[in-house]
Amino acid sequence: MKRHGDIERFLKDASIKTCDAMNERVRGRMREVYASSTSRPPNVWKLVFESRAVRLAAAAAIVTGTGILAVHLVTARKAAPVVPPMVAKSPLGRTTALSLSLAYKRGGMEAVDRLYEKATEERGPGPTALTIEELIAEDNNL
Amino acid sequence: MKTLSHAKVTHALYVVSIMSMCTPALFAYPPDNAAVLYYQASLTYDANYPMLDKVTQFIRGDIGVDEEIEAYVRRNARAIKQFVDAGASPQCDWGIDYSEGLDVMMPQYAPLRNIAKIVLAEARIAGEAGDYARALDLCLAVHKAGVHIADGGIIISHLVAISLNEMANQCLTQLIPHVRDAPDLLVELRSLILDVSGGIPSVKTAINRDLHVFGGDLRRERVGYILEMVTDFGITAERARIIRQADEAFFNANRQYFMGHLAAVLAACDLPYPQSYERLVALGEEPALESKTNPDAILAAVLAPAVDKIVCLDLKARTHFNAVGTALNLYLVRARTGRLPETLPEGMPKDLFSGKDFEYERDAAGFVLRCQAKDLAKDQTYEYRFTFK
Repeated sequence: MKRHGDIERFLKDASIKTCDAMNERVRGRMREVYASSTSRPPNVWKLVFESRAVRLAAAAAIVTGTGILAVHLVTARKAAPVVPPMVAKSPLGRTTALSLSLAYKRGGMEAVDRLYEKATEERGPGPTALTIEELIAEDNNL
Repeated sequence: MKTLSHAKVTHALYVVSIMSMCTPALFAYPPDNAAVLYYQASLTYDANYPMLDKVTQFIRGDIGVDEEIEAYVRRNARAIKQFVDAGASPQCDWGIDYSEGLDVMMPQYAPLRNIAKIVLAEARIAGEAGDYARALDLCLAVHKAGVHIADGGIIISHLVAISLNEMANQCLTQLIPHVRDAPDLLVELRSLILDVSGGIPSVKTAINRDLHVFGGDLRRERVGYILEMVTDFGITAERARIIRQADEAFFNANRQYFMGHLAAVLAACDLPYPQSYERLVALGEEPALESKTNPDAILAAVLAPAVDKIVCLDLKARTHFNAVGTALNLYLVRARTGRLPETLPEGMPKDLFSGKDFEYERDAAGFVLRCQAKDLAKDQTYEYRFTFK
């Protein structure tokens, strides 16, 4: 908000040509506005933050808060379960020496059977009988 | 001689002799490598899991045969034939490339176990129909498959093999009473059982191969595969993070620890049974305890096999073989003399848990062979009942 003297100076310096009556009317309005603005209640936040000590305390609080948040985020990331790298798994790819050994260690021969059962189900039905007629028909279609 | 000098006749004779020499080689069956037939059987059998459960109950003697079981066995006639024929092959090379290390593909063990159950179901059906020779042949085919699977295998192969032997011995125990009065058949069976049980390689051989296949492949480059496997089978997020972020030095130290651990396990296997078991239990707990303070033990804690239990299973299977062998001798005495001996004859196969003869007890229905020491892993004393009907 400009001070009263500033308003007068601004109007004098302004390179606008107006008549005196108009000047007086504008000046009157501006004074009214200035008067109404100065009669508002004082801004509490402004009053509080005018103190240097308070500004320093607020800055310290922000820095501390940011620090705590950063530490929390890093810790949370460390505790999160590690996702192993993606390795392609074919159904029968599970029946390796290591996977069978671990399955046995965990659940005995039944766990080994279940591992194969799951792999076989995922692989789908096994080969079916193929007739010579089917092979000839397939060859003709190629 | 004039006829032989004729060019056309000479050519014809050449063709006939070449064909007669080549034909046996071209159509040789069964093939020299039994694995070919086992793989074929595992592809052609009907993997009907509800029926397999029923077959398992049938061969255990929990339920009787019904039309559904008979039809299922008939449906698998081709796979049964392949499985039985494989037993006649002199060699079995599964084509396992152990140089692949941890993720080496193993043969189709579960399908082979399933086919073995179907074969034993047919053995029981044949036995009930009075075709004991066929029934015994089928049981022996399962035993031979066990030997083929264990030969050149790792621990898991050995365990699958002895599970087949256990099933076959249970079936034999039910069948032998039906041939109790046929001394020739008993003698032949005794000799075949001796051959088969002698053909199963030592469990130490399988442990030693595990040591080299697994231990040798604990390398930084394998971290992806190791993590994939151990995550699937349960490991804390913190352990997974350590393994993932580990450098080459971590893997070197873990490899050395793993090798040292299994070397100690192998040494413990040589001790007499009770001491061996106690030492193996202590060794089995070591990596998990030590890994809390020593990161070198982390991979051994996850990957090392529970050898104490494996050794007990191996002893159990071999002791069962010895019980069947002893029983065959007793049946033979009865077939020749008309009665069972009062005490066990000298030189009978031993109960391997105690290292002594089986405890022998007769009654009106037959006889019992009882171990003289417990299976410490299961806290159980095994006994094998053989009847006269």
